[in-house]
Order: sequence, then C-alpha cells, then structure tokens
Amino acid sequence: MLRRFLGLTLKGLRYRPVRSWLTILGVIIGIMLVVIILALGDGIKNAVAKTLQMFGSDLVIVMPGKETNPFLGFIGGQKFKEKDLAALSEIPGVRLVVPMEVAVLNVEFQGEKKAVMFHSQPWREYKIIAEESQALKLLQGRWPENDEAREIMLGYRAAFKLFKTAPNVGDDIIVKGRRFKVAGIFAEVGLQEEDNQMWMSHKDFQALTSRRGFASSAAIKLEKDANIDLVAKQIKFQLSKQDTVRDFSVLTPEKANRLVGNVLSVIQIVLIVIALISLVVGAVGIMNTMYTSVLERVKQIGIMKAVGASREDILSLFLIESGMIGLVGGILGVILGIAAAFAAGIIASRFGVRGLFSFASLDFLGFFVILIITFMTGVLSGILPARQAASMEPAEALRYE
Amino acid sequence: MHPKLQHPPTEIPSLSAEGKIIDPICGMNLDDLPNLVSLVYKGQAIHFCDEGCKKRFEADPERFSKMPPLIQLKNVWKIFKIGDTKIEVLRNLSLHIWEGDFIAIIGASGSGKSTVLNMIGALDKPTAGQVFYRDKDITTLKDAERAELRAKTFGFVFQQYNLIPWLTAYENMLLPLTFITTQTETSAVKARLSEIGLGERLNHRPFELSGGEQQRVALIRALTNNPEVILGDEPTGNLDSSTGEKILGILINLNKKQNKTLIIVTHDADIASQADQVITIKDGQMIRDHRAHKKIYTE
Repeated sequence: MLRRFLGLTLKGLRYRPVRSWLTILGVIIGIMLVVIILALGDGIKNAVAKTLQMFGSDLVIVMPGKETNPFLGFIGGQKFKEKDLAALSEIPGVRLVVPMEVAVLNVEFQGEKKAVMFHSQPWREYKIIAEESQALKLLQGRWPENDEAREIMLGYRAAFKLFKTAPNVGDDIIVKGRRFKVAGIFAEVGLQEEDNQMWMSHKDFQALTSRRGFASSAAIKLEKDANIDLVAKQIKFQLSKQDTVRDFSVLTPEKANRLVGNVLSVIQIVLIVIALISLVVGAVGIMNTMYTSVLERVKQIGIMKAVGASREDILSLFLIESGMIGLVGGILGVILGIAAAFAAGIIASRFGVRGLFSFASLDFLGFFVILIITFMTGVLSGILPARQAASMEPAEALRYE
Repeated sequence: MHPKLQHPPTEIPSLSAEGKIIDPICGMNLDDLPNLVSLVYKGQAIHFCDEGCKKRFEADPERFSKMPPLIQLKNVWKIFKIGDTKIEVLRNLSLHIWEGDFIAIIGASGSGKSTVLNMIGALDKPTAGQVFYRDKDITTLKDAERAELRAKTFGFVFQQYNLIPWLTAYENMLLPLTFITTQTETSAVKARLSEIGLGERLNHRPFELSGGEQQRVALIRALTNNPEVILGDEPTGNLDSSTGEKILGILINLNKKQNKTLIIVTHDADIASQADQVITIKDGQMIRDHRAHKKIYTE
C-alpha cells in the first residue's frame, strides 16, 4: 500500500516540477544554514583556540581600553609610555616585559609595493616569548642579532604569497623608504594575522614612525611558578599610577578565553536563530504549497475517493507528499550545507585560516536528527491542508472546478 | 380522490414502515398520487405509479415480489446551504433499483438527477433519509466502509471523464487498485483493455488522448474492480454520436451479458429509450412521466 501511495505521490510531484522544487528550495536554504553553522562551529572554535595558543598560557597582555572591550581602545590609538611598561618588570613573578607596537607600513620589494602589517618589539625578549609561549617557529634564516641591525622577520604568507617573487633570507626589502635585510622567515601558524605579518625591532620602528618612548601594548611573561591572577592584579595596580592611558586592560589567558568565548557564543546563537527562522519559513512554504495543491486538486481528490480512496488514504497521500518535500529538502540541505562549509573551509585556508572545516568533525548523528526534524516539519505542515482535503465528500469534491 | 388502498402483504417491498403505499418497482410514494394502476397478485392488491411499472411487474412477478431491491432510497432529502440560502435538491425522494436493471435517470438541468446518482453510489450523504444497498443502510457506514463499497461495488463513469492528469492512461485504469488491499489481477484489466481497445495509447497522459479515448480509459477504470453496479453521469454527453454509441454499446453489453446493474443519468432520449426503466426527476422528486417510458409503452 505504502509503495503504491509513494509512487502516486512521486508522479504527482513530478507533474508540477517547478512548484515542487521551489518548495523544496525553501527547506534546503533553512537546512543548509543549520548544517553550515554546525559544520563550521567546531572549526571556528579550533581557530579561536589556536589564536589563544598564540597568546600563551604564561603571558599577560596589557593593552589600552576598558576591560569589557579592550579591542576598542586598541583601535583608538592610545599608547603607554615605555618607561611605565618597563617598570612592570620590577613586580615579583614577572620574568620579562615586551613592549609592542603594530602599524601598517609601505613595503617595496623588487619594484612591487605593498602595505604590510608590522609588529615591533625588542628582539631578544620577543624571541623568548615567541619560542616558549607562542610556538612561533623559525622556518628559514635566523633571529636578528640586535635591535640596531636593521633586520626584519617575515611571516609565512608575507614571505611566500605576498610578492610575485618570494624574497629570500638575506634579500633587501624597503620599508618606508629605508632598506632592511630579511633575517628569517617564520613557519606557518595557520592564523591570517600572524602569517601575513612582518616583524621589526622596536627601535627601528620608532625611528621609522618617529614615535619614541611609546608602545601600544605589552606582553608580559611570568616566572614559571608565579600566581598569574595575583601578578595580574599587581600589574593593574602598578599601571593605575600612570596617567597616559586612563582605561587599560590586563588580559590573562583565562580572561581572554572568556572574552572570545562570549563573542563566539553570541555569534553562534545569532546564527542558530537565523537558521531556525529560515526553517520556519521553509515550513510555512510547505504549508502554503500544500494548501494550494489541495485547492488545485480538490477534483482529483474526488476522483480518488470515487474509485475507493478513504479519508485515511487521502490523508496519507498528502502527508507522504509533504513529508517527502521536507525529507528531500533536508537531504539536499545537508549535502549542500556540507559542500558550502567545505568551500568555506577552502576559501578560509586560502586566506591563511587553516582547519576551519574537516569531515572528521561532522556530526552525522546530528544530521540524521535534522532529517527527522525536516520530515516531521513537512508532515506537520501538511496535516492541516491534508485533513481539509480528506474530509470532503467525494461528490462535493467532484463538483469543484 | 383515489380509492382507499389496501396494504399489500409485507413480503412485497411496496410498503414503507410508515404505512405509506409505494410502487414496488420504482419505489415511488403513491399516497398522494391520483389514478393509481393496480393489480391483484396472490390475492393481494398491488399498486403502481403507472402502466410501465405494472407491466414490468407482470412480466416477472416472482422476481419483484420476493427479494428486496438492490438499491433503495427512502425519503431522501438533500439540502445544500449556500450562504444563508438553502437549496432543496432532493425532496423526500424514494426510489427502488432492481439488480441487473438498466435504469435511465432523466430530468432537466438542476433537477437533482446527478445527486440521486451520487446518493446511490455513496459519493454523497443525504441530509435526511436512508440509502440501502442490499438491505444495508449505507448512510450509517464509516468512511472507510463507504470507501470500500465505492471501490468494490460501484464503478463510476463521468461526463468529464475525470482522469488524473498526472497519470498515464494505464495508470489511471489501475488507480482503483491503489486503494484496496485485495489485489485484483492486472491481467483482468489488460483483458478488458483488448476488449475495449485503446491501441498504443496506454502510456499517454489524458491531455494527449481524444475525448472518446479518455472515456474508454475511464470506463476500464470503472470496471477494474469488477463492480456489481455501473453508474454513469452523462457518460456520452461530451462525445460525438458515433463514439457515444460505442461507449453506450459497451455499457449495455455489460448489463445484458454480465448482468451488471447499469444506472445512467442522461439528457439523451435515445439512451433513455433503451433502458429497462426510466426514472424522471423534477424539482428533487420522482414524477410520473409516460413519455419517458417509450420502450415499455411500445413493447
């Protein structure tokens, strides 16, 4: 019986291909969004985890701007006095303080001009942080010998993807009209920001930008057995004595984690709400199609009843139809969603964000649940119109024009 | 004033429970009818609406006096409501149909003749009154039982053919098999197919077929479950005369050779003239119509 009903329904759906596919499309879009969010959710978390790794577990970052949103202050361009930052190294538990500065500078290599993000810091201290806390590894060359050597370091993509001919270790690159030598190239980190970046010494940077005695932020490495929260508090106290930057934040790894986690979950909630809304829109689409198709087929319902279809038969036929629309939409939505997530992963890796999508992290049980939900959505949105169709007397239905 | 009537014996189904006198052949209520035709059979007076019914009784009194009619409509009302207006389509209509008969139902447009056919075939429920099939009140059946009755007992042929547009001719023929659990042999359908003839057009959709071809498909569909009763609502109304004659020929053949009860609603006097009995409906009631009984009166 079910097989015969299925056959009858399929023939009906194929008879109205445009209508059927448009309805299915409504479901596909909703499911696709849900699947993309689910498939990329893990990848986004991984990418964020990697960023936090760069942060280092024994590092405290000091930056301008309020605690609730330190990034805003960072953009605002407030700067600490270098001597205020240097004073922090007196705090017990602090191993070293690395003042840092970030700016976009014009770069020229073999006649090709680019704007590149530069990170400035004293080499000796930064080398310790990079190697011990941030897993920033040297791929080629060496670290610059001293802060006056006029040497720069290149991120992986800055070295190999930025210019038509990739600069080698020992090549000269012109930064803001001055000649620098490439001392080394870092291995790929998998984060766009780091990989596209170039590094120079704080002294060189200040000479180029003529902003002496200031730094926009600092990375503070703690002693191995230091109490990170206690030291952070002391840093805060110490910094509150200076008055160049009123609002500043002292970010511990745990705090940074929480901050990023909050942002991430808000994004995820918004995306899921969007996905659910589009799913509801899909369901309304099915219901609309089913209602129209009941009205269109009143006469055929009468015919089927005349040749022996019962109320249950008609109900089943319409529910199978709406369930099938839901299920096909769901299956295609899952497939296209995975494909879209896969494509997003490829595009993201082009821009240096690795591991956004992986088949291994796909939750197939979750997809199965999605298919059941879409099938049920289809069936439920078909119930009202199907019941209306089924309850007609055959003669009444046959009279309908 | 008609003579005081004596009630016939109870085994003759001419007496309704309410003590009304009815014509055993056509089922007409005779209470208010002047000039009844009567005869005495086995010592009992039996009354008829007209000579036609009486002649039918005389031809085979055993048949008409012993068994209940195959189909019986008792005091059937059908009232449609359109907004606040009530339209009485059938008004207290009573009717008998005997097994194996070819009945023509005639009447003007809007007289209610199609509604009568729908009542007989369980396509519609009366507002009041009862419809019996083999002494069983089908108006009280559950939806599934009525559906089964339609599937197994009645075969419908409509003026508009009423084929499902997204199914091929062959799939339309097999449509009744979709809804019943006991699988009829598709070979029976194929045999019928060669009998009625549709050539190579089995895989065509209805819109690719001529009217005559569509009606043949509809006819085969009506016969798929080998029904006892074939109901035709102007089955030749949309066909040219020669195609119409062919379709009618097939239907009459089924009635004569396979003893299938054939009930046809028609405008066509020629069709009515070939029926065993003609029932005339006017304003929702059955009336005496001598002109319609041409065949019976001329025999």
